[in-house]
Amino acid sequence: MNKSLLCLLLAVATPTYAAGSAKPKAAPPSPLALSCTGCHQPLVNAKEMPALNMLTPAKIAESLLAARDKPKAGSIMARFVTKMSDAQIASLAAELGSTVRP
Amino acid sequence: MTLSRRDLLKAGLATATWPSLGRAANRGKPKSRVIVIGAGFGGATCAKYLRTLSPTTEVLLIERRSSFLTGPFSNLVLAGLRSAESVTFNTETIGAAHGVKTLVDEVIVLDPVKLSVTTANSGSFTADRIVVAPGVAMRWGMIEGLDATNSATMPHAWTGDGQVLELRDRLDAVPDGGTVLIGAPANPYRCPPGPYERASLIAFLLSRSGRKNCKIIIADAKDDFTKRALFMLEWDALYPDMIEWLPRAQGGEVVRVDTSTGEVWLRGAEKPIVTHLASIVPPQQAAELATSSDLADESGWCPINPADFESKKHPGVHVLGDATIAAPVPKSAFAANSQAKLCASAVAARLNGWPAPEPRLLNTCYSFVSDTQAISVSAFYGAVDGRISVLSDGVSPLTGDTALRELEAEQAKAWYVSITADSFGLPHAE
Ligand SMILES: Cc1cc2nc3c(=O)[nH]c(=O)nc-3n(C[C@H](O)[C@H](O)[C@H](O)COP(=O)(O)OP(=O)(O)OC[C@H]3O[C@@H](n4cnc5c(N)ncnc54)[C@H](O)[C@@H]3O)c2cc1C
Ligand code: HEC
Repeated sequence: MNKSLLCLLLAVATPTYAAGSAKPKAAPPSPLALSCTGCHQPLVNAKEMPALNMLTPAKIAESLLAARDKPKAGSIMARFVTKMSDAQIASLAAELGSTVRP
Repeated sequence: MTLSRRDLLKAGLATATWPSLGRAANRGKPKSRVIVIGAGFGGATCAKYLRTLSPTTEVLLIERRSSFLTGPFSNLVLAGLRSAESVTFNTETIGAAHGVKTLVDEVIVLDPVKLSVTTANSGSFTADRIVVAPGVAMRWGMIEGLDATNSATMPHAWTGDGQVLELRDRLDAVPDGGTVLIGAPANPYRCPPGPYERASLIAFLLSRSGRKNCKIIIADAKDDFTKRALFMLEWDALYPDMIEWLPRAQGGEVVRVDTSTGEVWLRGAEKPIVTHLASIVPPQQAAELATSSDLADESGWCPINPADFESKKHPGVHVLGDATIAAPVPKSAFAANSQAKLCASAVAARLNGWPAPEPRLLNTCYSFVSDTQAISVSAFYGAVDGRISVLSDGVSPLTGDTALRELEAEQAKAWYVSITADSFGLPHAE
C-alpha cells in the first residue's frame, strides 16, 4: 500500500478512545501536538512537512533535538523547539509518533 | 388563533429540533451539544476537533456564507499567480468532510446567558456551550468618505469576498507610471503582514507586465510592521524604487478619501495623493455578532481566558480567532486553527470530566515577496495565569539567500494545502 493511502486510512480511523466512556482509553492528543499537524497534516503528507504519524517517536525526537541543538540556518523547526526540555521533546515525539490521528 | 410551530420558528420563539446528524447519529444518544458559529479557520477547525475528541457531543456548525475565499493566498490571486477557485471553499463541503451538521444561515441573535442562538431562516437552537469564531468587521467612520457602500471602489479585499476579484481586475487597468496606494491600518488588525505582502506581489505583477515605472505607496497608520527589515531588504533587491513606505510619523495615516476621483488625503497633508488605484484596508474590530452579543469590550475585540478561549464576559461562550484579544498571538489563519484545537480540547475535557489540557499555541505567517520567494515568522506560545507569552520564536534570516527564500515559498505552498485540508477537509485541487 502506498504511503499517502495508508496515511489517509490512518487519518479517518476512529478516535483514539471510546465514545461514552468517562475517561478516554488513551489520553487525548495535547493541543500542541494537534497544532503541529497544521503543517504536518496526515491528510496531505507534504514532502516539505511530512505527516508525523508516519515516523517513529525516536526519529521525531532525534529531529527535534537536532533542530534545538544544531539548527540549520533558516530552520522553521528551531523556532518551536529552542526552549523545549528533553522531557518535553520526548513526550511530544511519543504522542505524535503514535497517537495523533486527526 | 393558534400559531403553528413553523410560525413560532419564523418568529424565533420556539427552539428548533436539532437537525439530524446523518452518519454521526449512529453514535448513540448525544450527551452534550455545542453550537459553533463561523466556518472560517477558527470555527471549522473547532467543529472538526470537537467531533473527533468528544464523540458524545453533538456539534452544529452555522455559517452565513455558502462559500468564501481564504485570506491566505488571496494576495497571490491579485497577482495572477493563483486562480480564485483554488482559494475558494464551500461551507456545505466543509461540514460534510468533517461529518458535522452544518447550516448555511446567519445567526442574528446570540443570547450569551441562555446559550441560545436565533438564525435568520432556520429557527433557534440552544446548547451546552457555544463557540463563536466570526472574524472581523471594518470600523467605518474612521476614514472620512469611506464606508460599507463605497469601499469596493477602493477595495480592501480583506474579508474573502468579491472585492478580491474587483481588486485583481482593477490592477489590470493601472497604466505604466501609475500610482497604486495601499492604506495599512493601525494595530490590531487581521493578518499583520498582509498589506506588505500585497505591496510585494503588486510590485511583482506590475514589473512583470512591463509597468516598472509604477509607484506603490504604502500609507501606514503605524510606525513599524512585522518582518519590516526583511520586506524592505527584498523590496530593494527585487523592485528598486517601486515601493515607498510612509509611516505614521511621516504623515502616512489615511484620513480621508474621495472614492469618485481616487484621491487620498494623508494626515496633515494639504493636497491629496491622486491614485490610479487605492486599496484601503480600514481599521478593524470583532465582527458584528461579537459586538451585538456583548462578547466584545470597549476596544471592539473579545476578551478571553487563554486557557480555553472562554469569554471573560460570558461563561459558556468561547470566542476564537481574529475576533479575540490574544496578543502577542497575531490574527492569522494559523493562529485561529491552533486556538480552535486548544478550545476543542478544553471543551471536550470539560464536557467529559477529563483533566484540562495544557494550553499551548503555535503560529507561522509566511509572506510571499515574489512569485517564487517567501519569508516567515513563527512563535510557540504558552498561557500562564491568564496571559499568553512567547515561549520561543524566530524569523527568516536577513542574510538568507535566494535558495532559502525559494525553499520557504515551497514550504508556504505545502502549508496552505495542509492548513486548508486540516481546517476545511480533504485537499483541494489547485
Ligand atoms: C490578504 C490576507 C492575507 C492573509 N494571509 C494569511 C496567511 O498567509 N497566513 C495566515 O495564517 N493568515 C492569513 N490571513 C489571515 C486569515 O485570513 C485570518 O486570520 C483568518 O481567516 C481568521 O479566521 P477566523 O475563523 O477568526 O475568521 P474567518 O476566517 O473570517 O471566519 C469567520 C466566519 O464567520 C462567519 N460569520 C460571521 N458572523 C456570522 C453570523 N452572524 N452568522 C453566521 N456566520 C457568521 C463569516 O461569514 C466567516 O466565514 C490573511 C488575511 C488577509 C486578508
Ligand atoms: C509552520 C509549519 C510547521 C509547523 C507548525 C511544525 N513544523 Fe515540523 N517541519 C516543518 C518544516 C518546514 C520542516 C523541514 C525542516 C525545517 O525547516 O526545519 C519540518 C521538519 C520536522 C521534522 C523532521 C521531519 C523528517 O522528515 O525527518 C519533525 C520530526 C518535525 N518537523 C516535527 C514537528 C513538531 C513536533 C511540531 C510541533 C511542535 C512541528 N514539527 C511543527 C514545518 C513545520
